[in-house]
Amino acid sequence: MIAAIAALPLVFALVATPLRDRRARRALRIVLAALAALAPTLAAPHLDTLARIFVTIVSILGFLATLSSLDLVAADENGGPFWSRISVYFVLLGAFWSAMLLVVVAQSFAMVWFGISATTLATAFLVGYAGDDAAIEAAWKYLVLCSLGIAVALAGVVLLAKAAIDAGIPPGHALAWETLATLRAHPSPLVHLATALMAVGFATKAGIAPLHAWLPDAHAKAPAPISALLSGVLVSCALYAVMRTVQAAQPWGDAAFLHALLTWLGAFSVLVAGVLMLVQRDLKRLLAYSTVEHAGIVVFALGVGGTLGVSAALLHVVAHAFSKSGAFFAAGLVLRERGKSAALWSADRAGRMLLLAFAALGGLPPFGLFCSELLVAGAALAAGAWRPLLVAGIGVAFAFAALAYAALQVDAGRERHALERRADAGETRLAALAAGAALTLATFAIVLPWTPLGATLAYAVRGLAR
Amino acid sequence: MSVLALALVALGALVVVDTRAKRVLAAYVVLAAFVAALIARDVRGDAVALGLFALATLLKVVAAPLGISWFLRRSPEAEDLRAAVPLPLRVVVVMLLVAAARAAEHLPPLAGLPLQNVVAFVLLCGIALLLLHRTVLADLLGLLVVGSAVTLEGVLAAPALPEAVELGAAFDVLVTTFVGLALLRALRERGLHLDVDALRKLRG
Repeated sequence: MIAAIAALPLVFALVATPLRDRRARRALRIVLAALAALAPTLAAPHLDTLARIFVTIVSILGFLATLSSLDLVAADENGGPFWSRISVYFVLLGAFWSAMLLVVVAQSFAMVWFGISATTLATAFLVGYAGDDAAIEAAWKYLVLCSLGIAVALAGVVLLAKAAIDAGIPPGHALAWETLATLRAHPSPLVHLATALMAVGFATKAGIAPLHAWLPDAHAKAPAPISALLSGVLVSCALYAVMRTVQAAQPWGDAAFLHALLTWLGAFSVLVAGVLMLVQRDLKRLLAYSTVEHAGIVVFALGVGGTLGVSAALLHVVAHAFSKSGAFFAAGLVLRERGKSAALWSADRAGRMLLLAFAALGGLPPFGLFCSELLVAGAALAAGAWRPLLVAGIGVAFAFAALAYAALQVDAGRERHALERRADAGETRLAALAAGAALTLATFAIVLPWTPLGATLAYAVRGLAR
Repeated sequence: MSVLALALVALGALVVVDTRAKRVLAAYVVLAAFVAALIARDVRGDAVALGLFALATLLKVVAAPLGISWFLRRSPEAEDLRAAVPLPLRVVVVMLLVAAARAAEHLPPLAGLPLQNVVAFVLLCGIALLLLHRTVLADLLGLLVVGSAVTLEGVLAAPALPEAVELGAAFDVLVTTFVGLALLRALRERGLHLDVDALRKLRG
């Protein structure tokens, strides 16, 4: 059942491919993407609250990325046969969506590992989709670093299975959340090593420094909707795996080592990303380093732990997923209208969206990241983690300065190029809709704690911060 | 140290010291075959387990090496893995790796697990192959050696889960080798250098 739900986006992408009529194919892709987004929520009621939150993120952003792709990628090629590059693009997009869905509907670490590993299969080709030299080089770097990270995570998963079997769990259930949650065992150095390897391995896929080198290149060279999925969803899925790792360490009692590792990894990541954001002049690379910063904040919050820290981490993941995807969708519009990924980033409508996205990513109110960053700081102070908080705080300040500078450039570009809009800008309506929807959801993230989704969030926090 | 352990250590040392792609590939094949033989002991008699084992072994020991050999035949320039450091230094690195692997065996988390020094050595050799050679093919071979070390750890640490470990490792090989070869082919067709130094222009 889980595999069938996860396979839907890929199957639907394949179904739409043979249609020859371009308009019919476009309409069918929209309908099937909507179905693929709705199906997991309706067909998987057995999922726990944490998984449901991430299923929502994957489904909404998978659908919006498909909409955005119909404008930003498909418009560059005129139909063509069903084996054309554009058809392959949509099949790979479906495969990517399916792999991420598998990560969040999985019930055990074995399936999570398999899903995270499967994302590499689809995305390596999507990163290299542009086909130019730099895109292929970016895909290579992505493959090597992520494969290494995944191998490290597999070693951790194997050692965790060994610890679970030693603690009396039957081999067939050694990696299932449900069984691990019922376990009560003595602190074990083997579990410390296993969870540390898993956290570091999965964090590679989240772009945590110093294992982040693949992320800026991959995000900069991938088509904008894929960058949105990489930043908004793939990174979120990797962080979901880190959250499950933290949860898995709890039955053995002493998880202080894992928490300390995550706190410092997160703080270091925020600082590195903040410094590097200051020197970026390429729009998509700037957004990519911003992803490293925000992934660092989530890992830092998970390391700080406690109810407040975990609440902040979850809220931050949700808000960041929508804010960053909105930013990449808007960046796609800007780059389509300006035609390059460097300097003078603005076009009129897209420029306004980009300004909104910068405000969201900079943590300004009323966007969700404002709320979550305050919670993270509060959680760190409450836990007495002021040293890593200071390191992370400096990184956040640098990142804010870089985004503020970029916003000034966008604003200047908007005025200069307001009269130069391309005649076919109207063709990007779906992409604009996707960007607007993602940014609206990013705004709503701030009121999450007071909504029904907020109650779901609270249940998930209880599970993670026992 | 048993004959098996000595053989694994020799293979690990070869992949770090040698610079000829075919010899390093042959060392990987023997290493993967050793690990498959170890797993074969624990595979239960049911059809699913046997099928998974056969598929994984086919991928790791036959399909992946054949794919790389095919690439080497078409790209003779890839035969030289271009060591980043001279031979004496690579030998010193191997000796340091042996010392590190012996220390790893005594780490509290790994106490009680068999052959941890060998697993650590093979793992470190895979990483050293990635770091001490400059071509993209060396990256690919390094990832395969790291994958073999992880599979070996899986067999030794969790012998009750041979199918899960095999499936994971086989999928890792599938992703690494076939996506990697597709990208290598694209690099070669575009006339790009296979030296990683030439690929660093994107670093930011």
